[in-house]
Amino acid sequence: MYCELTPEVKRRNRRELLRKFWPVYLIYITATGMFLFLHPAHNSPLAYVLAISLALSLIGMIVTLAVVTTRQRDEFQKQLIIQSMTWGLCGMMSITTTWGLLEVFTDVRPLPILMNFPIFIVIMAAAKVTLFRNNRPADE
Amino acid sequence: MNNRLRVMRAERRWSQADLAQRLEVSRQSINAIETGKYDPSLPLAFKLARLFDTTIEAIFTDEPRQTA
Repeated sequence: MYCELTPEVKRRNRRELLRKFWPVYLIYITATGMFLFLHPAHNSPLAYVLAISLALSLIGMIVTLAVVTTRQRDEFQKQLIIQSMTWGLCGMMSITTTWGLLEVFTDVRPLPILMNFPIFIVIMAAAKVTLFRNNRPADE
Repeated sequence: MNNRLRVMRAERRWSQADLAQRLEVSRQSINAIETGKYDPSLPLAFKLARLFDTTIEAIFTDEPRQTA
């Protein structure tokens, strides 16, 4: 990334994030993949199971992000992470609101609600890279 | 908020990385505090004061930053 953490802090952050985030992220990816490639039958039990798995993994990821952010000991970086999450939320709401209005008043194709989370993550990631790059410490 | 962190650090011949290591924060945080982009929380300010064996007021002032 575009920041210089001390090795100890870097290792601790990475360990903490990976341990908590990847299990729920894997469930999310697997369920999304199954939805997209298996096309479960309408009203089938598989569709319900996948939908509930997706919802639970999403809640898990959001809770994990919140917990990791709360426990982040570097307060300046915590501030940058919160700023990037705010950008992600604002971006997602702007895009989905605009798209929703277009769906009502024009012939634009409906945007699957499934896309909300990826939109949030992509905008948050872009904001995080930008914010960390803008706040990169100068050479001493 | 203005601060004397850069001067006090230089007096001890510590780099930003040294100070970051002592405070268990990133060098990015030290740089942000020194350049006035970020005001630390009270716990971090106390930690800084203890590390430099002084008071918070000796490090931070609410006088506006002087521009060159």
